Amino acid sequence: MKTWAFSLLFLVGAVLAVPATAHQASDSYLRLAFDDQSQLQVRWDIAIRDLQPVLAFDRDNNGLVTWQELQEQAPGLIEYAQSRLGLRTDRSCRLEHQSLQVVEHSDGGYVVLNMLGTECAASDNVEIGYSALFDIDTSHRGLVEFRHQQNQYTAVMSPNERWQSVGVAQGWWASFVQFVREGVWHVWIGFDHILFLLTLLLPCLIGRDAGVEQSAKYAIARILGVVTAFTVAHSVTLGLAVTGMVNLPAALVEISIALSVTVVAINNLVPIITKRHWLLAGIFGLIHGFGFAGAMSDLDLSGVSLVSALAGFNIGVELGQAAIVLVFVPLVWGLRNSWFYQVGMVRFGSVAVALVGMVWAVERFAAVA
Amino acid sequence: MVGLMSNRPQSAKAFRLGRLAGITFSVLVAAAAHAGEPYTPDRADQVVARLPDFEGQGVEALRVRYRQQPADRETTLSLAARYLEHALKSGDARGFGAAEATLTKLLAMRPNDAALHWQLATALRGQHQFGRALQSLDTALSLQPDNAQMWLDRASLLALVGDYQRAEQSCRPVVLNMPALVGSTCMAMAKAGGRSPQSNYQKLLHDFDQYRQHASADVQAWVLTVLADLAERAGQPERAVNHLRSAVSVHPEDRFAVLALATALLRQDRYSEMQLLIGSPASEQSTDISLQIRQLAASGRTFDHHRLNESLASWYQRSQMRGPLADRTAVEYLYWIKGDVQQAAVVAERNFAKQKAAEDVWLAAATAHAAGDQQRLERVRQWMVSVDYEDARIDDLSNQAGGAQ
Repeated sequence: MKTWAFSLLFLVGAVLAVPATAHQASDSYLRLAFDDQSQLQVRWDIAIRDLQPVLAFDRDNNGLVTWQELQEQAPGLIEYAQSRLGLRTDRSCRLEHQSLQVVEHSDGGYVVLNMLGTECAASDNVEIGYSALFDIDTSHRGLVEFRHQQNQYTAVMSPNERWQSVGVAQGWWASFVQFVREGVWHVWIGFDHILFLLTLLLPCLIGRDAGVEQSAKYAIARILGVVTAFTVAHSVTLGLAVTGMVNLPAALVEISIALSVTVVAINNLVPIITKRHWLLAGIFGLIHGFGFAGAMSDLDLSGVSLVSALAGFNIGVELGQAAIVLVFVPLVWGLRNSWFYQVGMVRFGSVAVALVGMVWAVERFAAVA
Repeated sequence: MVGLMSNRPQSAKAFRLGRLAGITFSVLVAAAAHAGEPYTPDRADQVVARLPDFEGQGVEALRVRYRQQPADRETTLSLAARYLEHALKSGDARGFGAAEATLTKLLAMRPNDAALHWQLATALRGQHQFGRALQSLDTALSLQPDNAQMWLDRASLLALVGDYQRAEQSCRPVVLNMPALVGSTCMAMAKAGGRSPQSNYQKLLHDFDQYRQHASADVQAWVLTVLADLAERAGQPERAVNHLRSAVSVHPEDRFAVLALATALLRQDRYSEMQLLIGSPASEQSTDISLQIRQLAASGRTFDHHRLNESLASWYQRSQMRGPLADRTAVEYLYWIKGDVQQAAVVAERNFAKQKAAEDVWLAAATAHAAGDQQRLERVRQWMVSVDYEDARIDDLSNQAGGAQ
């Protein structure tokens, strides 16, 4: 006991000197995807050095593992992999070995196990049971990536989380948060949505309309009316479209959205609807809702996933537009009685917006013509 | 010609579903992007992996024995010690996890074995599981209360997490039962809060001069790194560099001293000296992330580091996905290599919440200052006041920030 105890003094000393240090950690990479035949393609990269304690590849003990040494242990390796990995969709998948390769990762050579999961149906989530290497290294982690219908889902397998489900049913909260973020982003990158909304708000903010003073309270009520009508309308069509109850051709929706921008801009120049801008917001909001739905149509969601995605995306859209309104309105509030705002921004701005909307409409039409 | 185009997708199909994954799961993509393509080697004798040096030093024989006799205490302790030694010498975290896995099985059979608990504490500490490490040490000490080395380990762990009062209590058995220089250094660490760095430094330097001839090389190197920390905190960076040079000189294999010296040189922009010390990315093929970060920082823009940059980016993504195992190193990467001071400040504060070695405190303050984040800097200052911890460098930063206001 004395011997190792005193050797630990060195260790203690080293730890004391610099307590935190850079580490190469033990990770494996497990990639899953269904192919065109709905078979589960499995690629599993495991560091050869991590497997050395299990399979003792280095027969000649020279610190180097050759391809031949690896191949000699292939049966054991395959058996080990199959015994430490379980995949399940509607039922357990049988893991058939396909091929053995190697790949160079940043921290050295990895063996690549290509396998095929059979006897289980394609699904939008996969249950994973993972216990590789935990018994010889508690810091080992399995980094899982599941590609499904253009989405990627990941999970980190650890000694405390040996069973996990990865995919669309990856927990409604994670999905919800992800879609909230997407909703916000979708509004922010969608210039046509932003332009439509701001163009609608421009006349609502004018302090003096046809010589009649508009109170701040009245202006805020009009803004709220527009935002609420837009929200309700696009929520309705978003829900209808995503659940498949109503479907419109994407090209038609996109062109209509572009034209909606032009229409509200022209209405600012030649007012047909003078007070009830919320009506415009409501009518065209229905069209924009189909546009938002287009963003989600390829996800093929159902059940809880659909509800959380829809709710999340919708809330994200609302947050995104609320942020825009909250930035825009205070910015122009002080100007709303000025000539600059009433003529420069509302009138000249609307001319510019109308032109932009028309160009978009032409571009989108040209793209499908 | 720039067209007047909306950047909105042209059709429903065009929605960037990939980005859904990209936002949350860019981690794996980045890691995968760095890796090469899988291949089937042409020749049977092609080398496909290099094993760490220690694999060729009898460790396999120990493993075989361990597999045959998993209940054999001496074999388990020896194998775990080999893993720990490798991890501490090389910075390879796998050793800590392997040691924990090795020890845990026997601990289930021998729950009252102090030595097993002690080694487990070292393995857990290496994985930054400080709470569990302290529990293991306390269990070990309850079984073997007269083991001064364990008390030393406990003191250092408590000092690391900023619990200086309990660290000082743990140092008492060390002072009474271990060589004077070890006790003195223990106290110097524990007094990081409560005693000024200058007086702490002077006292330890005096003791070091008095007792160094009786100390082994590794203990000397350890004391010198503690002296360097104190000198830095006392605002004497040149002295710190000199102490670290001495540490490297007396114990050239001490990776920690080498890295600490490189860090001290980096703080003074002494890149050519750093390169002499640790080599350049072109000359070295290390997989040691700390070393790679310092090599890259040292060589500035004089070398095309594309591959190393990619490798580090991949490591960073991976480490963030795994959890905050290597947060200090992540801060160094963000701060020195990427220049992302905002994110560096966030990670540095997270790291500082867990561990409070001089370098952790400094990084938390320096990154907050660089990011112009006065609130974060103030939180570091408040902690310093609460435990009576002084650092002249951080005082300077606060004064600069105060001056700017």
